[in-house]
Amino acid sequence: MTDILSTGVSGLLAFQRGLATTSQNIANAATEGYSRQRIELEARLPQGFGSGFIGRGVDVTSIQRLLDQFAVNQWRASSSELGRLSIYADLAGRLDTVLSDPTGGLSASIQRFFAAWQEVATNPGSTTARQLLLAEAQTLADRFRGTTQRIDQLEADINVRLTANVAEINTLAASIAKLNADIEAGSAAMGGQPPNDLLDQRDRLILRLSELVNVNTVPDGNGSVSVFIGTGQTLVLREFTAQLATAPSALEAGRLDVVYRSNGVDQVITSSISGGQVGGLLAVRGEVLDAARQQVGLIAATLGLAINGQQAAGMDLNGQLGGALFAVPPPQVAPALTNAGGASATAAVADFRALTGEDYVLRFDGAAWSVTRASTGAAVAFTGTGAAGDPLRFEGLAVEIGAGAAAGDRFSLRSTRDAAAGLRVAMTDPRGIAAAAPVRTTAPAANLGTGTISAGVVVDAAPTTYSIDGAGSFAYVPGADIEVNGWRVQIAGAPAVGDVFRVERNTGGVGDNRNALAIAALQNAGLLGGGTASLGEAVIGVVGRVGTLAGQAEVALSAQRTLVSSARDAVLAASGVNLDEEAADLLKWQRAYQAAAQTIVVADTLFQTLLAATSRR
Amino acid sequence: MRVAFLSAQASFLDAIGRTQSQLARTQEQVSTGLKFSRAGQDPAAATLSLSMDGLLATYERYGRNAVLAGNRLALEESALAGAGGVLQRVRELVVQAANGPQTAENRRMIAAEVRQRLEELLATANTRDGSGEFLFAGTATRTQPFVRDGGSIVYQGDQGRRLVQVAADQYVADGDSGAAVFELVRNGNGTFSVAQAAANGGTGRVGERTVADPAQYDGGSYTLVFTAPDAWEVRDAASAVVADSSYRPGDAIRFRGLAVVVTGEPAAGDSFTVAPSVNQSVFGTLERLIAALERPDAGPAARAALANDLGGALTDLDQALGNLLEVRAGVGARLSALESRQAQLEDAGVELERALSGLRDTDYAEALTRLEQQLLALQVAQKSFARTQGLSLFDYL
Repeated sequence: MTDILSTGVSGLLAFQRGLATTSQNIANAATEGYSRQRIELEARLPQGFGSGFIGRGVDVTSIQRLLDQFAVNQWRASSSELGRLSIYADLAGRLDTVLSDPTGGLSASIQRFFAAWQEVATNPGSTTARQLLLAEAQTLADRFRGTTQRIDQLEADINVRLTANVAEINTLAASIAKLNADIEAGSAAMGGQPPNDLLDQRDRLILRLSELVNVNTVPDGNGSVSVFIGTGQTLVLREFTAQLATAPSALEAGRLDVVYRSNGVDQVITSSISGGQVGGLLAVRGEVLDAARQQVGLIAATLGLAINGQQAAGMDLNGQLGGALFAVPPPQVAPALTNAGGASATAAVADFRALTGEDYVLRFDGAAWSVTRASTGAAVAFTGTGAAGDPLRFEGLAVEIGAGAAAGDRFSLRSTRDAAAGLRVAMTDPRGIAAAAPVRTTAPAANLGTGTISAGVVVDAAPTTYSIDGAGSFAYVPGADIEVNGWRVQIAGAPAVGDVFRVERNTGGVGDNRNALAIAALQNAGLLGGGTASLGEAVIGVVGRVGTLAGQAEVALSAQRTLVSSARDAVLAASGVNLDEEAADLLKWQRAYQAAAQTIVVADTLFQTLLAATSRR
Repeated sequence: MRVAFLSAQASFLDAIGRTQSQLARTQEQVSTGLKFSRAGQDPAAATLSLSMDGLLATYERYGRNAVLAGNRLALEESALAGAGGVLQRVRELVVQAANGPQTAENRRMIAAEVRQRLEELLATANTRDGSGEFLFAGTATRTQPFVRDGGSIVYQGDQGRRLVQVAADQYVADGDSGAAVFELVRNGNGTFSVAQAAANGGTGRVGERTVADPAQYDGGSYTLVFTAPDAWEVRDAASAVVADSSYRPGDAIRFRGLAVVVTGEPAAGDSFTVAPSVNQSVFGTLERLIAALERPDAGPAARAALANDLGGALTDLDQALGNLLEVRAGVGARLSALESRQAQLEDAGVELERALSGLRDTDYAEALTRLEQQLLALQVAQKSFARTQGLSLFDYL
């Protein structure tokens, strides 16, 4: 009878546990990250009799959470990608919005700038048209600067977010490490039973960590989980953590790198971080912002130098050769902080049509210089020695480096990246716009032949060779180029003996628009991409590139949302609380509890029966 | 698959979120009238529409250039018409002066009118456009082109012409220099001119002068000398005789491919010089005409000299008129080219705008249908969630 009683009591206790667990599940039905729990029941070891074994009741061996670890890992990985894509799509979309502005964008400004040149060309003597042109030039420069400023703002935004994310990663890592310790201790104290709610809590933190950065987790036998980031840097090892930090980039001012700090040693791990929001920030910075800044800078420099070049070949309203319309920042060349030698360097643009917009690294091996692209490290072919008078010439640049370089010294060279931010309108006087050509040609009335002379163009505004008047007599080829002292004309027809053509300074030619037409024609000239792209096409190229990246990220983001949803559903399918199921469980435990209580009543009745039978009245 | 309480909630919220963001997108398209507001929403269409925008702006610019050039050319056209009228009137006066005997009084009056016409022509040649620039100064538009200098009118402008861009590779001149219109005019008949020597004592008059065979004329200067009243010879610049014959009034004197008709009675020793045509300003022509008209004409020799000068002036005037006509024809051709270019630009602009609209503008019918569908989807999601969540086993416990 006592065995019936104890069996019944064991049932009562077990079902109480069952009810408690079910009510815990119901209570946490809406708790994020909660995994439903289940009691594990096991029949007690039976007692042997001659006739066989009789059971002795039930034991609760453990309370487990129900979990699909594979689904959890999937969820983490897809959340990491979601974090990366959402940041990427957000920031790329913001740059896209800036660049796509149909009325205030670069494309429209360039259009209006050249339209203003056309206006000057149709009315070169008009001060109004000239003032309008200066205003449009100012607007264009502002637009270039505004665009770079927006890129800079995005970069600053990235810095703020990086710092915040890194701080959160550190907090999460510390919490995970503490939970590791608690779980180990709790589990040990309870004979290896799992502290389910602590485990849930840790899983939730690791999920949040995955949203920030791609992580690898490795469980160990004691209940701890180790967390690794990047290329295997340990973030959490049992209850120990390493620190992440942000530090100013050694290469570029205003840029933050992610630094892994362990045992007092800092290691830059920017390039090895992939997924998560941090990965997204770094990717959008490298793929979208840098490329856009480089392209916009190249376009600004090309535009400024091309216009200035043609200005110099023209004549302004004061009768002078045209001055610069734009001030274009020169290429920036800076010695590396580690240089042993004291050499300094200067760089200039030799041929703006050959510019690539790339940044370069110049390296001295003790005897000669080598040039590589900063982005890819690929070697760049060059001519010259770098000495004064014989500059290193490559990709449209000319660099002169002073004496005193030591072997291993490096210089970083930014060709046009700062051009968009630094483009200014240098001209203030509308009379300075060189609409006219500085030479004119005349066929004097005394000529008897039918020879005609072309209007004359300047082919070299600053000729370095000269020829002496009256030299030679030259064979006459109708229509052939006659090029002297920087100008070029053609004479056609049949000049008579003694006919004279005059090429002279274009004094008074205020209505001449030849140079304005030449500048207006630059709008459709292939100034970029090795002669393949006009300024407008290059701008559209940047807009298209950023737009494509942003669009791809948005499409991928929406697909990733679905993936994350299904990963979450897969996790919840195993771990989530289903209330109907819990209601059924509730009934199950209630009925079982009632039945177990009934066995105790039966045992009591038996006991009473026995007592009654054996008692003496 | 087990459906957890949270899972149903989250899936519902996902679906609502998706539908709502689609709704917002459709609503944006409807309210802005644009299919995309930034390149990322449709990179291909966005970049294409940007380049079309650029092309459209260029077309508009070319159109405006064409209008401005057209205005200038119309102004030039009317100035040229005015100049043509003046020369035509002067020509009539010359014909009037040459026909029949005129009194000295008459000739002075004619001379006075020619002088008047000269002033009128000068004013026309110095016409300014609306912005105060000289029309016929070439590209030296702030320099008065024709000024009196030492008694004659000289050209101060240059020979430049301003081109205006009306297509990627089409430039149209928006004017002509004063040199081309008034200065660079060949005198005589365009090939050669005939003038009598001042000392001529006879009454020989030069009539028709033609180039019979251009291939034979070498462009040299010749002197036609009457060795006797009935004999002539033609000498070249080195005084070598190239042709000679007897003189019969009204017969053409032929040499080196040229034919010159002389009438009247030249005296022995009278000579006429035949020179290749040179450029002579229209103003110079008129000034010489005035000088001839104001010269006293006592005696038959002087009358013959006047007649010869008037004949010369007539050929010079015809050259000037011809030149004006040629310039005007050029202006007219350019005006009509501009007009057809403008029409082309307008057509192309309309076509481009239509293409751009198809590329960029919201198709309202489609967008509104989509909006309806999305709203319906939202309602259905909400209703079905409410229905499924309304069921619970707990209701039966």
